Amino acid sequence: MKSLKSIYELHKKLEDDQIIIAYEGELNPQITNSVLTLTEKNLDKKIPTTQVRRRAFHIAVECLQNISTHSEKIEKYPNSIFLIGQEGNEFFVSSGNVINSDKVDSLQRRLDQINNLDKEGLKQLHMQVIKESLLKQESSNAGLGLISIARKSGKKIGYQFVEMDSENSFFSFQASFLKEPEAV
Amino acid sequence: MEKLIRFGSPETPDISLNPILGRLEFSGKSLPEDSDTFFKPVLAWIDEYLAYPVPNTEIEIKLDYFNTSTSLVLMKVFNKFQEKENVVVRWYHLPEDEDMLESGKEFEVLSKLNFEYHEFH
Repeated sequence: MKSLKSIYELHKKLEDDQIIIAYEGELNPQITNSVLTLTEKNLDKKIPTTQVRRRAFHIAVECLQNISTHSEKIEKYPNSIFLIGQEGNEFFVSSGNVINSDKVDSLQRRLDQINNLDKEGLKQLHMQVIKESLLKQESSNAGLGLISIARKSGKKIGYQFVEMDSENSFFSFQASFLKEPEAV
Repeated sequence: MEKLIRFGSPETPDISLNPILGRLEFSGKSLPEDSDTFFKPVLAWIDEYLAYPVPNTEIEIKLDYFNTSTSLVLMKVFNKFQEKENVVVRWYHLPEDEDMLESGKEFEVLSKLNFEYHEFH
């Protein structure tokens, strides 16, 4: 049996870190919707500024749907983690999920490309990707979610890959944004 | 031709497509993960409408929130009306929601349609 004290410790840790929502488990479309409903309720309570709350929700939606849509179901590692918290003058949305290691290079290139662009560059890339997706008639939106997260965040996206075994890597992702509204 | 009416849910918008008035309305929230499937009947309806459109078509977007998957569908909707005469897009946003206003301006550039901007409360 798990030590009962560890429940209190986990609770205390989440409180101390001012976590707004934390989820660990499988993410399919149905669960994603439930997590989003909870996220929206919690954000309503914790973020008074409308524009900042909307940006937080937008980032949460894209982050969760990215995992649920793109993560190929890896039987060995079915679980993902998702959390929203705050530190200093910022809120952050973080997630972690297991991806096939052969996807790491292209994902890293896309994230570096996004992180190297300024506000105007991101806007142009966003519009270009929308145009290209329509020409290709493809439903996968080729990084549109990530671009949109970067635009709402107004900061560099944090990411890391950790090799788990010969085929799989853990992808950690974090987007943060200022608590005080400013034009993004 | 029939109207197409869909009532919204926490993840999907209210939709009202009226062929007699030539009015297409989308309101509420739109964040389905698979927007292509959800909006398929809408795109099919528009194809049918465009065979015999009324003289003036109004597309009213009164969305409180939409995800990127929906933004691709909106672009498909606008593209269907490219090079058609007398089409106006009424793009609504909450007064404090500048991001929504900016999204509209980007769709205006991408689609080259005639956009009008309005606030809603």
